Amino acid sequence: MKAKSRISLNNFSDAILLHIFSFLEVEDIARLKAVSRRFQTLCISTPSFSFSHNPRHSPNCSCLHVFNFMKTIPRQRPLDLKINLLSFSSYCMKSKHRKLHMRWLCRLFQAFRVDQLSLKYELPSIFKSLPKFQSLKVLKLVMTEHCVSVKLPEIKLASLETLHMEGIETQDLVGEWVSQSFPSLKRLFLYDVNVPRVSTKQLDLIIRSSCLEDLTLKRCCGFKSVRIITDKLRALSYFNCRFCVNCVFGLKKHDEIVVEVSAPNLRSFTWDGPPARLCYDKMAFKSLHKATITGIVFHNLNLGEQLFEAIRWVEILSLDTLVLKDLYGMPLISFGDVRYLEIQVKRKFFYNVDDVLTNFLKRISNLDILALAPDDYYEEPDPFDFKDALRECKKTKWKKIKGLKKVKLATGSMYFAIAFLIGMLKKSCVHMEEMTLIYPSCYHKSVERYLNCLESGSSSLSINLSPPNRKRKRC
Amino acid sequence: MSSSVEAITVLSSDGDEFKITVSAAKLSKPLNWMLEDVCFSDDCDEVPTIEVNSKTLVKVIEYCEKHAPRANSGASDSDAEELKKWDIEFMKMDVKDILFHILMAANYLHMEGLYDLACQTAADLMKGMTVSQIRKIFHIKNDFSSEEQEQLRRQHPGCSFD
Repeated sequence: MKAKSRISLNNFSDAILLHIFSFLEVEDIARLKAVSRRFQTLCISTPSFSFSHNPRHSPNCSCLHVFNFMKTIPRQRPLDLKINLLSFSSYCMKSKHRKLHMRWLCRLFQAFRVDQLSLKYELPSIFKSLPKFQSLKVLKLVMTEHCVSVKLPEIKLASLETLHMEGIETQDLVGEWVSQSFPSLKRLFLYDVNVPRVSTKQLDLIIRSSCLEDLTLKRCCGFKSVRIITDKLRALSYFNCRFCVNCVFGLKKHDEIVVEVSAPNLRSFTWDGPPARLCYDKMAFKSLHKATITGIVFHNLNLGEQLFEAIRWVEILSLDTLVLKDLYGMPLISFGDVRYLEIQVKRKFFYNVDDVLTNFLKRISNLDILALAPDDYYEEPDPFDFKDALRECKKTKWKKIKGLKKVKLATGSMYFAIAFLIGMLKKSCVHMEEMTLIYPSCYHKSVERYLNCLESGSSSLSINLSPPNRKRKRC
Repeated sequence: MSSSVEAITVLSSDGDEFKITVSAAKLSKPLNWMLEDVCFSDDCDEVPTIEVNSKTLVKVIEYCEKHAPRANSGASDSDAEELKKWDIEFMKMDVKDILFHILMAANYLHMEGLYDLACQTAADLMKGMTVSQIRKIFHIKNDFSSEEQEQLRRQHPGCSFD
């Protein structure tokens, strides 16, 4: 390759060109067909077809152009060449066009193996055709514009492994429908799947798919209870809604919703939003390795305690990563075998060194990595001076965490941060390898001054200093 | 791999020397294999050559160094967003000629992120272009006979050819 030589697209292998094509819409690919003979062949064998048209953005539809191209595909494309992805999101104003779109989609399904189907807007009509799509592995149904109340069709798709449903309202039993229709389902994402507000029925969401490994529930509210009972589940994410109609108008209170989890092989658990009433059995969290909890406000201590009581994994089990974000209060839990701990707290919590140290660190014995990042760190005036901080740190029993290898610390109080580090290093954290300090730029000088104290510490230690990258109010 | 090495030196196809940090080099599978190989241990002075020209290699290394911290440790969402913006800026500076060199280099060095980014950029360039514009910009010869061309025009009445 010489720097000035001109590379033509023709120099690229078929694989590269097809990869470029995979980023293009059908209408662009249809045009490329007229570029050269090689392109003509490639366009027909492209691995994915995606078509999106929003009449709001451009009133002129390119549907006819697309129809002309798609018509040629079943005739010209090798029949054994499967289609990786069919993505279709359009709601053309012309009902005739909508019918023709459905026709080419169905025709492709009849002629080829299709792995993934992604649909937006056109939900109700495509629902009826779902049973025809027998080879499908991934199905994504998204109604972004508005929730539409639908009747779930009776189908059976044994090949389906991933289902993603978004923006659907139904009075049918979603959980039962999923487990009956897709017996081999491994990954399930339900976003904004709701019971219609007018409905007087009290429905439960019961997930019982036996092969399920990964489950995400986001803003699925309006249910009386959520029950997750599945043996193979490895990852569970639960995003409670904070602002939906049901919640804002007080139709459903969060602590009225019962969330029941029974998943003995769960390894990763993420919870975001206000806590519900959590039910569990002792085996529910026995394999848990990683937990992330965000946005729980512990103004009601009972709720907080109850939740942490429920996920008492730490006592029982093998939890090794715990991330706590946006918390207001601090629950008293014991961290047993946690090896990675990240805490992002609101500043209110961070007033007192003692709080952090006694309530957290003395409960940790096997920690490798510790990251502390209070949220509003540099709006807060310095609550201590260096000597106080150092005195506090000296009181702490550092021996317990002498295996600590990495520390990442962001704090408004530089004195505290430095004292913290000196305390740790001089006392007993001899295995410390890396430290990262994130601090406001106005602390530049004091940081450097106090870091000199550290030089006598462990020789293989590397210390990274970085000012915060977020821009906020100056301190 | 010797742990004392922090940066390695490689030669471009034009014979210029470049330094690349170990963590950045790990983004590429072939380079990673080289790292594990003997060629970067202390007692060996042989400098490996990468079959990519200097102008392209500068860009490739720039990309690697930027992406290495995130690839190695995993980062928060805000970092990911910032990186995305950086990627867009990074690709803006390129004329089509160097874009293709980067694309080939990314393919040759097995760098998935850069490869996808370059393919996406190339695809974005093609969007909305007429057939003759695409031929001109990407240096593609029209090998259709005039009858075939006429037929294509009839099949795709809505599509702009000139």
